[in-house]
Amino acid sequence: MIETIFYILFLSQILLFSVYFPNKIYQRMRYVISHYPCDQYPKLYPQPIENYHRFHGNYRLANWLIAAAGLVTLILSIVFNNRGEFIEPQVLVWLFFMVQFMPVVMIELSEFSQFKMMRTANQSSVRSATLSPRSLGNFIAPKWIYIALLASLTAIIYGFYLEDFTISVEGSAVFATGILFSVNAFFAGLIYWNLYGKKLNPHQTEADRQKVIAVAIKSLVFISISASVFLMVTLSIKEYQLHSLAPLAMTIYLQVIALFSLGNSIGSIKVDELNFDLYKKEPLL
Amino acid sequence: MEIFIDIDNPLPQFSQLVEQIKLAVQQKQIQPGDPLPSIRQLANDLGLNNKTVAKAYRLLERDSVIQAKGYRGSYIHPDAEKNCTVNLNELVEEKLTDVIGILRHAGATDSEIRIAFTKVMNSDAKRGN
Repeated sequence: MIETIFYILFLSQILLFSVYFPNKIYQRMRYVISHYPCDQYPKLYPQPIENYHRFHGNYRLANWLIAAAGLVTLILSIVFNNRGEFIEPQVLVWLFFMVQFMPVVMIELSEFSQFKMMRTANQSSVRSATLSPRSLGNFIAPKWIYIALLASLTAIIYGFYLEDFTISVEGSAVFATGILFSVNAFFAGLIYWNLYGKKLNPHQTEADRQKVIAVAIKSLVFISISASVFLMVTLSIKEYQLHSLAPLAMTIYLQVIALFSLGNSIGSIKVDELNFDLYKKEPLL
Repeated sequence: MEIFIDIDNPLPQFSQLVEQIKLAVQQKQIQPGDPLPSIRQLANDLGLNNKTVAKAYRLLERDSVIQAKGYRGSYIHPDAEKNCTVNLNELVEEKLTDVIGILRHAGATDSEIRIAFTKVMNSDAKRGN
């Protein structure tokens, strides 16, 4: 029964992260390129337009190949009834997630390079900034920050509670604390960078930038809460010898991450609500 | 409220910042007590050096257009609107013109005045003023 649920959830992970979201992203990229064409919005395309078409094609192909590889892996796991003889199912899920994550990294890197080219191509000597301070409270309700901190603290205390509050370097609690600290410190750094970091897109309006920051911060805070919950579940699984549930917890957690990151980003930022007029050709004087 | 900096403008960037913030106060686009962005935020948004923005904030604070409230950041001074109209540069020029007039009247040459001015400024700088 648990194995069947695992296979269904793993299939859902494959479809969600390598078919559904990539398809949404692909459609979005194609929508931008067709509704905001190069001849009318030249500042949006610092590279030759063929490069964008090629990138979109490669992105789609990469995801299809990963989805196919995932399905083959799933079928092989079912046929050979893998229960950890070849590879632990939760490790398999995690490794496959890493592979699924590669096209996202591909998009992020290309975005950085796109913004860099935009900055280089930007010949305007005028720079603008808002006179309003950006602070965390403008982008997310403080209760969510408190919930994230409380969830982390609860996970740490729970870890030590399971080990009778003994501090051992080899214990799970110390390891879990280290992981949570590292993850939250990394997220805090990303939030700080989003709030106060350098403006990457030279043409972006403050209003659009604030939309993007709000989505990024909410995603990071919700992922932090999920990480604490996942850690508590993992510690419980270890404590109560429920190893068969570990792969289920892992794939659910990874799908929650996908929903909070890609899902939140796709759902919250509507292309038509962004200001594309800034990318138009400047009128000739 | 947005401000704009022209990096090709011969006016120094910190002066452009000072003028624009004063203008925003005079035009009531920002009100007394309103918070200002941190030095780092403004510098990163404008692609300027932190020191440039810090210098502009220091000058605005000196003119009592803004006030620093420690870790909470900088805010528009309660008397900012009134203080925006005080132009310290004009005051300095006015006072110097008076002093130079007195010295010339006493028979000092321009060269002597320049040397003495530099000497006083340098000795003042050494004292840490």
